[in-house]
Amino acid sequence: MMEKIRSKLGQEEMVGFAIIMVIVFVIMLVFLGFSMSNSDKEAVESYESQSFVQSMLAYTTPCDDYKETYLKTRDLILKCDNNATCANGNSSCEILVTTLRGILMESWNVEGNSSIKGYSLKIGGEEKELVSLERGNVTRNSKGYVEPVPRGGKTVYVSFVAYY
Amino acid sequence: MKSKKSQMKIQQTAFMLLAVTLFFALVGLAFVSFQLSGVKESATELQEKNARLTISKLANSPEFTCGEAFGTKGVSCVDMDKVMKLKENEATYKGFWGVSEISVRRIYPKTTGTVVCTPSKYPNCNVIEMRVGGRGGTFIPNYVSLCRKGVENGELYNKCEMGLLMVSYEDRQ
Repeated sequence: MMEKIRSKLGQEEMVGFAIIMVIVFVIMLVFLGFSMSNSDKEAVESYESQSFVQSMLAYTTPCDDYKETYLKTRDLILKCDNNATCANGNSSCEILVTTLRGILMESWNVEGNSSIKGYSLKIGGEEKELVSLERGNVTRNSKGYVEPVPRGGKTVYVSFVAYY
Repeated sequence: MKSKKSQMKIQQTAFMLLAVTLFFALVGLAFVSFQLSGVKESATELQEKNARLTISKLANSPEFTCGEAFGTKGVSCVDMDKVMKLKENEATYKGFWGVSEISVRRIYPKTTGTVVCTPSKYPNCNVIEMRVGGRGGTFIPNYVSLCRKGVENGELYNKCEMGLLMVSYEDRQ
């Protein structure tokens, strides 16, 4: 009788051990799958965001000033910050937003199977936000760049983040 | 009875050995995958560094860069007028820059379709095919400022647009 009970206990131990092994195996598989899926190449590199922001700030906008020269985005941001108008009477902030929206639309494709899922562009200083343009979805993976635009003791920050 | 007990013991030992082996194999597999992901990360970092260096080298080479002519100091800026002139003499630069293909594409303001730049079409075009005919390979684009001298009412002014400088270099086996 005792022998039978011992044998049964041994069998139960084995079954218990087998169950533990199966659980450990499943956990390992999940861990492996997760680590493999995370090791894909990143879609956006930070230098891409940096070069994009810097090129965008150098873009010649259709806003002219009284010196009969067209302003760069960098100068237009400061003009917009001062609520000034262009020489032709157009609002500097309106031209700024239209220009930036056009540049973003043509530069970052967030539709369909694109590796870029969304982006966000914010321009503003310590007191107020001048521009906030967003498109697509915000994901946990992102690369971005912040460029300070200083002028006369004030600094306006241009912040761009691409989500992938 | 004793024989059955021994068989049971042998079975238990065999199962235990099998389970321990499986366990260590899994731990080993996890370790290898962890190491491999580190290698992949390093490779990606190296590729990024190489790409950045290639584009930066090209955009800042005297043949491409705007210098301070357009007030774009510190920005990756390509002088379109210079590149158009350089395109005509590209053959003399064979083997230079270490890339197999170079092209410059204007992305904003948008142009419908692809209009390859020729001396007669320039600047009403959006692609300068500087070097063509490579055998493929890793393709790297990067945002640059494309600057040129524009004319309005008979006066020259600086015009900078958004573009991509694209290079491809052949993969090393």
